Amino acid sequence: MRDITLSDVERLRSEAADTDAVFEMDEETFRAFYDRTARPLWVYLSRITGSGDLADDLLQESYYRFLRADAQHQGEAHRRNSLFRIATNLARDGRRRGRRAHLVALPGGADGSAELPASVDVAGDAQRRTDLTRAMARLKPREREMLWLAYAQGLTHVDIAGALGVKAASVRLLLFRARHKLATLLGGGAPSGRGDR
Amino acid sequence: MTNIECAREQDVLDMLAARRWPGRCEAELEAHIRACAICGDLTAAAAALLDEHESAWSEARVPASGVVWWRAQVRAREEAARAAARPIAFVQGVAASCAVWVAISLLRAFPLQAGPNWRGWATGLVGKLPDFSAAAASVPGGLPFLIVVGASLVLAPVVLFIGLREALREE
Repeated sequence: MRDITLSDVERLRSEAADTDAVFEMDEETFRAFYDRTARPLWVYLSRITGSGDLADDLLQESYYRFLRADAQHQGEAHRRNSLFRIATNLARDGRRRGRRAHLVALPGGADGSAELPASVDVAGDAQRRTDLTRAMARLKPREREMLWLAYAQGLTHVDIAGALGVKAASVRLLLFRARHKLATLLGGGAPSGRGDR
Repeated sequence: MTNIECAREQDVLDMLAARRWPGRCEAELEAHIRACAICGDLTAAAAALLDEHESAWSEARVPASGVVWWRAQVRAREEAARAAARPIAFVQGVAASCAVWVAISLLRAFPLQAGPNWRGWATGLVGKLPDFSAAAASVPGGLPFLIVVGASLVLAPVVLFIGLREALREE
């Protein structure tokens, strides 16, 4: 094995310095931010695209574009919203290019026969998930994104507006409509007339 | 006018987040949910999405942060290298165009009559070329076959050069 000379060490240091200078954000900050956001982002992408594989690709691409953007963020929420916005736009671009994702697969094997504790109502859970998957597939992409961010990830209206690029004032109404549509598709919603009070 | 808000939405969301629906919800709130269209929709939609989120969370598989960082760095450097090479290619193109333009200008400046008799030279050269008709008759494909073989001999080194240059660049 070849010994590393002093000049090699210097060269590697210099290359590392060049590498670190590629992005505005340093590695430590990125890693901390990634650890906080990667899982929610993957979950979001997998559910709005309907594909885990597509979510894998989009996750990497989203972080890359986020790093390349070198934008100035006014805090953690702003930074996270920017990331989700990039991811949402990438997912939309994918849809426009005709990458039609299949519906969300059931957990475990292709037949949905994952090993679960005996107390869990496997058939009932599978049925509920299938119902939700079908219902979500019938929603508009923006409705899906909005509902997921609001109720699965618990984002505020301001954060949803930031992540989806819509006006904060219109989130409430859009969310109301999307929620009613989903509830109706799931069979648990009120008839349209009941919303008038 | 359609009302799109209910004052108890947050109570419903808190109850769902605490996993108290449907069995352990307070009777009063449950009665409200059954009567209120807004909270009814909210419960149906949010409960389903929360369940789905739980399942999705457990199946989420994300690469390590170090891997994502490293890939991003490599890609950024590659893109930077490509971006740096773009002006060089542009300058090469401009230089080639200029060279052609200068050559044409020179040809126009010095009429053919003033220079050497290129036409006569070329005709003489063709006359000195060996006669391939006998060779063409002896091979199965005839003259077209010989032309293909000749072209291959001329083009093979060029293709080899381009291929090796690409391979070296990738390394």
